[in-house]
This record gives sequence, structure tokens and C-alpha cells, in this order.
Amino acid sequence: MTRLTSQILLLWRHRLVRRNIRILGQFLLILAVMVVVYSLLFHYIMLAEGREHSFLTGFYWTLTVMSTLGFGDITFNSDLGRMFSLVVLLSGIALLLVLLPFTFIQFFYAPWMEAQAKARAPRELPASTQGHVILIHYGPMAAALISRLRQYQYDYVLIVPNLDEALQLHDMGLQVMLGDLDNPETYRLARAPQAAMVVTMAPDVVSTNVAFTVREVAPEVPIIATVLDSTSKTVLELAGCNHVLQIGELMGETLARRTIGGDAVTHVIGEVKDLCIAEANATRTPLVGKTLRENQLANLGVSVVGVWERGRFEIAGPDTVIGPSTVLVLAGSRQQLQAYDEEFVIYNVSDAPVILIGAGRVGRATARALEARGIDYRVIDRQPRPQIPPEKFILGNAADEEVLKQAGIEEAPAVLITTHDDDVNIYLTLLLRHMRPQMQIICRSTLERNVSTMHRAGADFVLSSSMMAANMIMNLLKRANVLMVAEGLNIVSMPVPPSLAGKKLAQTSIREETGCRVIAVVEHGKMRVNPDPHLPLPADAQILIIGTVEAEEKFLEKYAKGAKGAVG
Amino acid sequence: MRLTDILKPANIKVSLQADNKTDAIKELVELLAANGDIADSRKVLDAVLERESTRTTGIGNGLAIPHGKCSGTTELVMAIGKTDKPIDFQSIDGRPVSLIWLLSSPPDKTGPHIHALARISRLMTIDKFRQALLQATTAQEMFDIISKQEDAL
Repeated sequence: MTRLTSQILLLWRHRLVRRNIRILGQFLLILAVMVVVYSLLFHYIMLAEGREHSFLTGFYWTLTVMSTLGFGDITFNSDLGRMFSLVVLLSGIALLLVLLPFTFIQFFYAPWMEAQAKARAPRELPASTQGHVILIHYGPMAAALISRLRQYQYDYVLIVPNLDEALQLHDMGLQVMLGDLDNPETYRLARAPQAAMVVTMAPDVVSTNVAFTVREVAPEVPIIATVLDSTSKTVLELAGCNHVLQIGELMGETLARRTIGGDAVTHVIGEVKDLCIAEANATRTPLVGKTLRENQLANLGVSVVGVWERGRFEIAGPDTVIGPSTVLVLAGSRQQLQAYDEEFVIYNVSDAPVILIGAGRVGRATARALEARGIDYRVIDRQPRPQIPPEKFILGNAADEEVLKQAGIEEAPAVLITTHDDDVNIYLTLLLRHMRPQMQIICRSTLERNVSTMHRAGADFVLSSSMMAANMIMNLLKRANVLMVAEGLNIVSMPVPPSLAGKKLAQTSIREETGCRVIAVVEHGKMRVNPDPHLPLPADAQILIIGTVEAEEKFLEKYAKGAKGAVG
Repeated sequence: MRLTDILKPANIKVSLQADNKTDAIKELVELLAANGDIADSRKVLDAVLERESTRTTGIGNGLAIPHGKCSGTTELVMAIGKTDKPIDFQSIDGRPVSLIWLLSSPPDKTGPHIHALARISRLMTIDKFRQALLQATTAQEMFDIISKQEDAL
């Protein structure tokens, strides 16, 4: 009831609506006057016929005739009376049965419905709105991002150009705003200048126009775009985007990085001044089956900050056991990483190519990333792909055993399934796991909800494009200049928090309590990589910590409330 | 980098007398010293054994690549030996070793050292090549097999 009252009030406030209702009122007044005049005429014509009826009867007769009910209990006998009856009947049909419903729909019902729709899909946000995220284009990536935004309690609005779509999305529980994507007014009304970020996930050409249009009203707001085509990156940057995420390329790089190919050496994934973060496969090295303490890697100078185990990152401790498919995350200087390579270059060397299923955008990006890493590969696809060197390409169905054999399934250390069809990927994962129980299977998932199904089907590592894009955007949102070294893994630099100043790292339980690790200390511009845990942390120094987004939050909460990190 | 530019047929021994890991390494270091390719055999031996003590260089498939950096040599040097009987090397696959490729370089040659190690490990993954080396009866024959395989890379 309150909702209805508020909607009527809202309706009344609108000038056009007020005018419509006035017209409706006038129409009803004319109708009332006609009824009164007909009632009076009824009375006098009846008197002329020698009968007398009350005024109420006249009113009753007029309405029954006008509404075409015509009970027939009171009728005229004279021609004049019958002529009058016809006039009343015809004007009744015209006014009550035709004009009244149309007028009601036109001037009251339709505006009321419209007002109701506007309440669900407004055309503007309140002027006080700020710190919100403006999203363009709804799809799996936006859905994943919205769930993260809710998790971290960020306000957001999804701008939709079409009312039906807007209402549909509103009914799905999303915050929507109606507006044309190429109209600067839309972004002014979405309060873009006060927004924390604008994220466009629309097709590349639409995103270009969006970026341009947003820049017209909000020169400062960070704009993030996701693109499919690598050539669009430059165009989007020219249009004013601060970050352009090439999801296909990033997926390819990440999938290739997780591949246990033919080596055990370090692969640098991020650098901050002298500090390098690298990954190295532990497969077929003497490290397997032992704890980090037993492996004594500290003698090489590097520090194992964490391990990837079936796609999950865990901060490493002295008791972490290295498994046959563990990927180590190492921190150290270039020289320290070289010392590691010298020690491990002889292990896990294999010339057997890895198999790549699917040569679409992600598949081709993966092939390029494997090429860059020096890992040999064979590609299987159902349609000819001239972009892949012919000697590396096998045309056929990856579910066909002969095709898989031709690609070298019996020897391949790993297979990467990169098609965009999650059903196909789950099917192939099950099939390949059955054929080769020990092989590494890396799988792409389009929808986040299929990740766990793929793990259950036997995949060692699953990467969802929507999840990856959402995590990257969240990282950019939370700290504009954090260094993301791997999916969900960050390096953050910050001044030594007062609660840690003067303390020795060995005395703290940062790793146990937060899941973060201090990997470098920067004092007077000089960086100490893997600092001695027995030296006190200087109050005026910077520290670099590594950890997942959640771990980093725990660290900030415990040691540096209110501090903002940045890559130093 | 071509391994056969560094390796000399004189530093290949088709029949190592040693019956254990340490002696086999010692025999190869002495071969390098006898051919005048290293200045200080003691230093080279210590460096290789020290590296071996941290973790095995037995990479599986009956192969070992013992190596070390020290000032006992001024150049990157290498020697190959085949054992008469397979010897225990605590290899990662638990199998005994019959082919040992030893490598030593001065401390400032980390880059070439890693590069050579990578190339040896890569060559050794080729089954036919490994079998051919194991069947060779003379040092020159082994050298030619390696040279031919390098051409094919």
C-alpha cells in the first residue's frame, strides 16, 4: 500500500503526468455533465409521455443505457423518446466503452506503468552518489565482477541502453540505470566524475565510444576496458582507457605459465626494482617429497614465498611439502634466480610437446605464450587454423583417440583445453584423465560456476576468464597501483607500519596470522631482498609484502589499519 | 653454443673403472687434468662434489650431469664417461647410472654454464641418441654421435 501511495505521489510530481491527469479529470467531468443532462432530459420526455419518474430513476436509466446494459424495465413509447434513447446509447458507446478506457490507459495507466519502470530502472543516480563503479555491458565477466563488488561492499550501477533489458536485469537483483551509452548526459547522470571506476566489457568498438564519451564528462575517472582483439588495445588507450585488459592474451599467458612443460628453471612473473618474483616447476626434481626445510633452498639465496597446488596459491612455510605437480613461487634477485637455475636446469627436461586443444583466440594466445617459453606444442582443432604452423597443427576432433595419438598423447607432459564451450571442456577433461591418469590437465572455463565441476572431472588447474577479469579489475579498484604477479597474487609496498617498527621479522607471526610474507625492505632507496629476519625493521623504511587479496586485507587489518599500499 | 666446440674426444672415456659415484667423478676430473684442460683438479673435484652433496645430479634414465663452478678452471670444460657397470647415483628415478657428463666452469661464467647444462639435458632426452652413445665403443665414435645430434637440433 505504501509502495502504491509512493508511486502515485511520484507520478503526481511529474509535470507531464499532472497534465495527463488533468485531461483525464476534464474528460470525467464532461461525462458527469452529460449524465446529469441526460437524466434531466429523461425526466422531461417521460413527463411529455404522461409518466413521472424520480431524478434518481433518470440517473439509473441513463447509466444503464449508456453502458449498454439496458435492462428494459423502463422504456419510452414515443418516437422522440426512442430517438433520445438512441442518442444516449450511441454517446454511451462512444464515451464509456471506447473513449473512457483509452483515456484511462493513455493518461493514467501507461504513465503509472512507466513511473513504476523508472523506479526500477532510473535514468539518473542521486547527485550525492560517489565512489561507485559504473559497469557497461552485462555478461559472464560482469556477473563475476558484480559478485566481487558485493563481497567487498562497493556500490555499482550497470548502465543499460534498453528498457526491457534494464527491467529484466533489475528483476535479477542487479542495480541498473537506463541510458544511451554514447550520450555524455548518461555518464553525467551516472555521476561518473565522482565514480571510483568505469568498467566497460562491451564489444571493442562500443567500448571505444564509451571511453571517449566518459572522458568528455569525467577526465579523471579511471576507465578499464576488456578487449578480445589485441589491435583494439591501442585504440582503446587512445580513447582514454587507463587499463585495457586483453583477456584472451592474459588467459593464454596464465594457462601457459601453469603448464608443467619441459623444464624446472625459473620464469619471472613480476619485478619490482631489484626484486624478481618467479615460478618454477618442482616436477621431476629432487625437491619432490621433501619439505622446504629439508630442501634448504635458502642456501641459493632465493626464498620460496608460496606454492601453487592444483591452481590454489598457498604461502609456504618450512614444513610445506613439495608435491610432484607443485609450482614454486620464488622471490629473489636476478643473481639468486640464476643460482637456482644453475642448480635445477638439468631436471625435468622433456622434448615431448604439450597438447593444446582448441585454436580460438585463447588457444592461439596460449600457443604464443608456450612458444615464448620455449615449450613445444601440438594444436588440435576441428577447423583449419592458418595462424598455427602446419607442422604443429592436427585437424580433427580431440575426442578421437587417433587424433590424440597423432598429437602425441602418450608422451605429452600436459594438455591444455582451451575451447570456449564448458561442456566440451568437461567432457575432454574426463576422457583425457581416464586415458592418462598422471598427465597434467589444464582447463579453461567460461563460466565461474563450472570451475569446481572441471576440478572434479580431473583437471589440475582451471582458469575461468570471467573470474580472472573480475579479480584483475578488483585489484585495480582496491589499489590502483598494486603489482599483480599472478592470478590473485599481489605485491604491495607500504611504509613499515608503526606496530612493526623496530621489530624483528623472526619475532612476528605475519605469515601464520595473515598469510602474507615480507619479501623485501627498502631503506634509503636501497632494497634488501629476502631480508634477514633477525634484523629490526627500520621505522622509516618501506616493506614489500606478497600475498593473496584476502591475505593482504588481513595484513592491513592487523598491522596497518587505514594504510594504503602501492608498488614502490 | 655447440657442445662439441667445448668437448674434446680426448675427454671422453668409454670405460670408466670406478664403481661408485665419487670415484667416477674423480676419474673424469683426473682425465681433464691429464689433458691439461683444468688448472687445479682438487678445486674442480671439490666444487663438483659439493654440488653433488646438496642434491643429486642423477636426472634419471641412467644419466648424471655432475657439475661445479670454481677457480680451478679458466674455461668451461666437460668430460664424458661410460661406466662398465651401472653405478648408484641416488638418481631421482632411483635407477643406476651408466653415462656421466661432467662439467666445470669458472665462477664468472654462470650464463654459459647454465646454457651448456640445459643443452646436455635436452640432448639426453632423445632416446635414440642415448642408446647410440651407450652402444659406442670409442671416444671418437661418441664424439661423432654428439656432433651429428647437435647438427640435427
